[in-house]
Amino acid sequence: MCNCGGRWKHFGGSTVMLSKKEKPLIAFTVEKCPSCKKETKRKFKEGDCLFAPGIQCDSCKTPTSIAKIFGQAIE
Amino acid sequence: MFGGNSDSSNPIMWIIWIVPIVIFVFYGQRIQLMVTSGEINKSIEKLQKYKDETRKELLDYLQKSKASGDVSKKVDRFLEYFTIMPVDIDPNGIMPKIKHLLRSREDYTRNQVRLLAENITPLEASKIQNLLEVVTSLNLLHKLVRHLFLTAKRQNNFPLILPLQMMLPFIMEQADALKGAVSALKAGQPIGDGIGPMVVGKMMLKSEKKQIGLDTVYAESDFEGRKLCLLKAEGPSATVGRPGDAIEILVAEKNPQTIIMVDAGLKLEGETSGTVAQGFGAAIGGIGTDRFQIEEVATKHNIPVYAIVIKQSIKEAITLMTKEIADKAEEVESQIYDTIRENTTPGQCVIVVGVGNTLGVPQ
Repeated sequence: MCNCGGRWKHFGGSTVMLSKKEKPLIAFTVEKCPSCKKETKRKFKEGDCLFAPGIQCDSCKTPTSIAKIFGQAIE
Repeated sequence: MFGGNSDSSNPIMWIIWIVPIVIFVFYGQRIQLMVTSGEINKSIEKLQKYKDETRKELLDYLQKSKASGDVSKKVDRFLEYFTIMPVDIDPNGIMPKIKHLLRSREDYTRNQVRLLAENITPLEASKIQNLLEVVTSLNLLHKLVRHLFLTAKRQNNFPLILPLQMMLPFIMEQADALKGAVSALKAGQPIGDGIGPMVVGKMMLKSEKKQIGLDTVYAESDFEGRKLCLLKAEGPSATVGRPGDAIEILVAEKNPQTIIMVDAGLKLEGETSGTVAQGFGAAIGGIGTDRFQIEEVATKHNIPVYAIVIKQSIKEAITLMTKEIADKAEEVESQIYDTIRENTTPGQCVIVVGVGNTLGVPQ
């Protein structure tokens, strides 16, 4: 296993550098329950803001808050 | 005549060998110039496309924000604004001049943006200001690359095109990053540079926030007997605030024993995104006026400055925050607390600064 991060392609004994097309990032919002620490990940909605109140936690019925907003490339 | 058996005595073979040599001796540089020109031309077209697309996106955004009058003319005028930097032959006292110049430009742009659309909120105004900066930067990159390319081509000056060819991948990387920043700016999503404000913003959630400078807030809290002064730009607007001024005020008022700065740092090629590194000195980017101010006040009062940086690429720093970076928020927070424990004693005061663009990050 090499540590080139996929930027080099290995054909038998030879190695070729290929330009890898970057995948677009999809925005996600993570809501975290303050009591049970359970995290729920969903797609980002317009108006989502960090630390803003989220939906109620499924397991302990406590209001969650938005802990993270980030982009992730979907394979 | 042409039927010799040996290659060395065959005139056709002589011509096949000699003609390319002659061509390459006399026209080699020109051929190379043509090949390189094609590559640079493609990049210039790409830069032009980026510039036009981002300009269109800005105009659409302004229309959505109920802009008044012919905004395209005003936007085009913005694109051509320039800043004449102070004379640096005698560098003594140049920093206040640069600061004054940049503040004047910033204030003017902010006022002009507010005039573009009626009843615009500070958040929307900050987004438009950032979008304008993106379009202006892309416009400048396009004009600079085109200027160097056309000059080299007009003068048939191959050596002039070589540095451009070498710099082009870096310029295109920057242009890609700027283009990628537009969607996050429009949607008000946190960007990679916002990791510092995100960590400090979370630390000050339960404390009372006070204004301490333009677009800058601070809150006081306690940690194991130490008084913490938590400082960041006022979110969720797209601003970096004025941390230099704020630290100067806090040092005069609170007499802190330590300053801790948390910021996004550019990673080196091969380094993993989201790596957290600790060091010394003022962790703050920009042209250097804020860093100068912080260094001055820290030196004058003999306050050690600790830096915690979260490594990322230029693209990651100005586009939507990636998962790798967002996941490091808790680790950074615990490193801040460790630094406080290791370097201060109960009863002392510590300033913790979250440096960076606080778009989408309230407090």
